[in-house]
Amino acid sequence: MVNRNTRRIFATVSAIGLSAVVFLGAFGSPRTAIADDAGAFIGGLIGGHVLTNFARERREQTMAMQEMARNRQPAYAPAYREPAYSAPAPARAPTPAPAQNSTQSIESKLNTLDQLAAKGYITKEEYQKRREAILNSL
Amino acid sequence: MRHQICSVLVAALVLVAYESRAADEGLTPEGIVGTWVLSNGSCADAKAEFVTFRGNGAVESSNGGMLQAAGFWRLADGLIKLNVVASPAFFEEKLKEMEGQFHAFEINLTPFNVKDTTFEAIGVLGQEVRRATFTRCTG
Repeated sequence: MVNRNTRRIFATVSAIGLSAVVFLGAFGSPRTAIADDAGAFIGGLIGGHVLTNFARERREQTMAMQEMARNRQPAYAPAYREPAYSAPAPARAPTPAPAQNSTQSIESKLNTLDQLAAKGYITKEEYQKRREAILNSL
Repeated sequence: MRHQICSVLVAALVLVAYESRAADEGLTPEGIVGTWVLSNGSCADAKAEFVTFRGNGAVESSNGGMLQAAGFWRLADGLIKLNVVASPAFFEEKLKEMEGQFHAFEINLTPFNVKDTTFEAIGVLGQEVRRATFTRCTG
């Protein structure tokens, strides 16, 4: 009894399943990945193909030109080169101070000599000797 | 009941196998020769898209009453191989600057659902893929 019922259920389910498969196969609309049935076929293939390649070539060409422009210096501009080694600049000799006015210098020396004598750092003889030497340099 | 179900299943499988075999054997070089109108176009409409496969191996494609591509065809490994020359300027407004330039293209058509007077095909050219229905006009 159980077996007969089981068989009936199995048969019914199978029949429903099979009917569904047959119905979908006969009336179901097939789904295609490429639903491009309308429009030009040969023209669409060639046009699309060339357009894709054309756009890609243009893009590559533009990129190549940009790359060239980046790497290339204009012909009229001198190329700047980083020095490979920059030697330290030689130490310059101190620039001699501009020569002072000789009269001013002698005056200054005489003043200094007077101060030294007034404070007693040099004797009268030394003072005279130095004074003569300074005056002789005129 | 089980026998009936099995019978129906076997019959369905036989039918599917027969259909597949028919599709595989449907296209022969002799069967391709002729003029076909594409994609639900009418043979009477001169401006529809046509492809003519000639017995000498030549193929021509026209659309809008204008010849657009010409070259050679052959059937190999179940594929229809087209080697045609065309100007891209014919097909895209953006390619007008290529007017006067002609290039060679190799298009592979994979036919399926082949019947007496129609078949469908998937066309591949580079990364471009399109589908069309071919309906026979003249044989």
